[in-house]
Amino acid sequence: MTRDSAVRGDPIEGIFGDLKYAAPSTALKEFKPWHKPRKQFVRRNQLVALLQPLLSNRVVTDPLRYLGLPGTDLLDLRYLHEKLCNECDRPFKFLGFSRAAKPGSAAHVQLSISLDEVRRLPNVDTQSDVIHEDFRCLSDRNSVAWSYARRLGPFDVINVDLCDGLASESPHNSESIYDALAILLALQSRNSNPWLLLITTRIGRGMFDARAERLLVEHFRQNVSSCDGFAEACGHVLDANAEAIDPADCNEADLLTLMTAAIGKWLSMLAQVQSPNAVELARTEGYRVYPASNVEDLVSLALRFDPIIEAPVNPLSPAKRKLVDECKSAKDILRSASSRNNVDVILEECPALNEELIVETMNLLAKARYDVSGYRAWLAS
Amino acid sequence: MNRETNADVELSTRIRASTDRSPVKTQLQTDDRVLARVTDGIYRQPVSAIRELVSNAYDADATQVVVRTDRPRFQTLTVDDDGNGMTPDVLAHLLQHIGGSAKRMPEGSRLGIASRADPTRSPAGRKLIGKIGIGLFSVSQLTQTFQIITKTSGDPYRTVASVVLRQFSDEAGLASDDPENHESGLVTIWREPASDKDAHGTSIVLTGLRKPTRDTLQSRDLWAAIDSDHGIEEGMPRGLVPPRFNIGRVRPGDSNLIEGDVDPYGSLPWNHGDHPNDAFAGLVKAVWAQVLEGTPNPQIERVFDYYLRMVWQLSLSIPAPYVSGNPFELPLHGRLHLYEMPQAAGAPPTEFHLNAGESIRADRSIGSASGIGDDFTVFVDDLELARPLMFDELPKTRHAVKKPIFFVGRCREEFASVPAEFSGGPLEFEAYLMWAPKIAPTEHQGVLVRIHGSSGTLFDPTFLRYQVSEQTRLRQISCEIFVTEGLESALNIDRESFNYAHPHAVYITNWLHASLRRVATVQKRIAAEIRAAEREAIATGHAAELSKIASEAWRDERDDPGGEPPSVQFDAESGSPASEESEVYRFNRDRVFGESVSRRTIADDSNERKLRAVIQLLAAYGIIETLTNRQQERLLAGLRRILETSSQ
Repeated sequence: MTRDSAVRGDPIEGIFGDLKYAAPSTALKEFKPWHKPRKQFVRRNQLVALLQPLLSNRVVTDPLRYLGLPGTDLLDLRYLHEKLCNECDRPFKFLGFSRAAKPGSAAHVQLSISLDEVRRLPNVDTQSDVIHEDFRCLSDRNSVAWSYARRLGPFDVINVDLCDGLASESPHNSESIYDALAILLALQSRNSNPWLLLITTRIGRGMFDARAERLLVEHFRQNVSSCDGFAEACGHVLDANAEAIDPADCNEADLLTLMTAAIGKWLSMLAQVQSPNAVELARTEGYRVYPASNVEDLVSLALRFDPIIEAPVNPLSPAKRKLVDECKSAKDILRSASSRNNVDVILEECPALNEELIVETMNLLAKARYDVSGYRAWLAS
Repeated sequence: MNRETNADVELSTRIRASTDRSPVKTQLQTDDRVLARVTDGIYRQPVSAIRELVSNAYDADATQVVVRTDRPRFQTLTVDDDGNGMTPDVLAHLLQHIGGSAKRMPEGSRLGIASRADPTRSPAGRKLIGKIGIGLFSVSQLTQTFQIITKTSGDPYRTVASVVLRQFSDEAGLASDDPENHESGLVTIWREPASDKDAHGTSIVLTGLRKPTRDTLQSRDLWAAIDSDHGIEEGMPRGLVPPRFNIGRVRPGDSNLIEGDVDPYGSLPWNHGDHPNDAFAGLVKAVWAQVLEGTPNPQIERVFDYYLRMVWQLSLSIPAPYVSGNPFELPLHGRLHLYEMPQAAGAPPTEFHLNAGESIRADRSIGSASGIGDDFTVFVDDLELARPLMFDELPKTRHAVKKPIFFVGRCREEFASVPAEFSGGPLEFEAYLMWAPKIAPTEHQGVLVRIHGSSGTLFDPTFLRYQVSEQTRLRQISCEIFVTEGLESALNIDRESFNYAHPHAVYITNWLHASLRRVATVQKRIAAEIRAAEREAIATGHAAELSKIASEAWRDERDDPGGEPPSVQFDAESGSPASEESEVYRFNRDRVFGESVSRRTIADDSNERKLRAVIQLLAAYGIIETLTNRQQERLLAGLRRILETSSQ
């Protein structure tokens, strides 16, 4: 009941829910752009390849904890389970946020079927769930979303794969992805194990919210002025002058590197707020969504966070320990941002790999009840 | 093949041929207008509907059920099981005959939801506890929209039924145009290809929970009362405080936000990351801990909010293991007083003892029915449910009887002399009655009757309307009766109450009441023995000291180290037979102690011992001999009154 209706005192207000006398029905399963093999490339090389070494030193009874924004097909969850949990009997605990699958909708029925399939896989923890919540709600510590994250976290991997990602997001919104990430990083400070943050976002001229772009670039520029060697490092990877760099003036490739590094830098800084972390931009993959784009316009950043267990400070020691070398970290992030993998090029140059990924994707889609007989034809079109 | 079966087969065939592109759309049908009304809602609380869904999972041979909610919001609720799942045939039958359960009927065996050999058992041999037609549609109490996702092992498809229920109308014309079948809702059914061919089970996904259901699950009335300016509503005391343990709550104006403490474990008796069975043990221990924290008689009603109460009630009602071990399986050597109830009416219970490491079940071959549910695991969110009953290591009390008294019994009645048309067939059950100085929570005082491991009635504090006024003792008794044959037909349709006129209900009632009388007799005797022993122990120490004083005086005055003063005897009458001892002072008890009273206290005993010592002291100094017997008795009466005065 809304406050207004409560004030009106409508006697039937709140008695009824959805007044549609019809059962939620089926939803047609059509292939979508994110079903292309390049997404599987990212899944394979970021999600699994980077997570595997983090888990290798942990006992197999220690669950893999995942937070993500899965679609109704739960493809990432199925793949993670197959590669990292099924063979070694590692428990799998996941929390998903799905704003699209509104309870009572056809999409929610599809999500329920997918959940039924995934939960019946061996080693899936009973508390695993995908909830109808906007990821942004995490920014409010009083939200049901945050309560869920508190219950199931901290996580070994956080996978923020939104349509536009950070691009169209204003940091000044009351609930923004930026705020949600900041709060999640605070939750992650309870994690004593290394963990991964994957962010997929559109990057390109005119795509970013102007205020967000300005704030991120300002943060980047601070490194140019405050870190020895950072300007020089920029000189190696950017055509533009780093000290006066302006997103409006630089070329598309520089813009891509600049914004990728700026996002990495911002997250690196956030990760130090609660407790020290070594942050590495472990991989960056990019590909073109708009055919007209000259460079990749969608990037997936994979950041690895290694918590630094701080020893007690010795008051008698004159030497001040510097746990995180922010300048070195910034230079590493910049170098990694510039050496991103162009997935479109890689797959074009390696048909065998492309074929492997097609087969893997078809297997995943078949598990998610797609009729994959038309998949190759769809790809070709 | 009759018309109904034809319709079932036709629907089943259509379901098998369906896909997500060509779903089957049909109506939910009930066989009878009365059943249409019944399926519209027979339960008073959400927990009842969830219990029925869990029961259906049990009957489908599930080993695990998971109930998930988005507490404290309660927008959605799902119940997943790993049972046999439903074939299109079963689903078709279900949807065409809501309320007309095929369980326990030959139809159940034909459909494969019951054993081929015995329609009262599941395919794997469990005794059935639910009624699928009614149980499934008990969800109408919770929501009008839900999905069934079900799969049987070996089927390369899942079957999905998406249901919207209609509200029953008192206007006959609105219910249905078909006088024989009554539309209870609409359903869309289709088959989805499944790559996990061997998977099996059923998921019930409830969306759009009704507002009254959400309000109940959110304990909204309770929180509203707490929030109100005066802190009172009708029937609620002033100064109402939140329950000691609760799941928190959403804000009244925005159910996506949580009110108050952001720590989801801030008001819960378990911690983040606890294993679900440890978390549940924490919940149970928290109730007992209340006893030590200033709440001598903790009540679930006051300690928990509705959600936690619901979990507690569910854990009591479903087949499940015990949280701290099955009392029939525990090595209880020396930890409880143990008695077996004979079946013969009027025969006293027989005490028995266990050897170290031995259990009641091993020693007495009794208690197998209490283990029903050991192979069944039910999760509700963070918790793995177990029967929240403890028998051992209970908090210490000031009661003289420190150890619980545990009575076990079993009974089989064939009603051989009565035609089955009257008796309802044989009745068989096992039971325990535990007397303990304290039963916590107070809601566990009473009798809980399980039929094949399941109970909808919970603890009945009246002990099936036991009329004897022994309120204190009854509050110290907790009893479970495990019925393995019979009684089921005595359950009313909501499965939460009995038809007390049913012969099985009458028989069990009589057995229970006779058992309660036996419990009272034994408990009184044990308590009396313990008190007597305590008195004796006190007396022994006290008497030894007095005897020492008198003996030392006697020996000193008589200069005889081996001497002992004469003993002292108070006879009821002066003509009582003389003692075999030669040196005895004998006095008339009534003249010394006044009119005899039936109930003597420890102080009376103590004074008598002192008086004897005084006489021996007077004898040692030769004083007593100077008086006549009547003077002696008057002197002693005076001394006795002085002693009583000083001891008061």
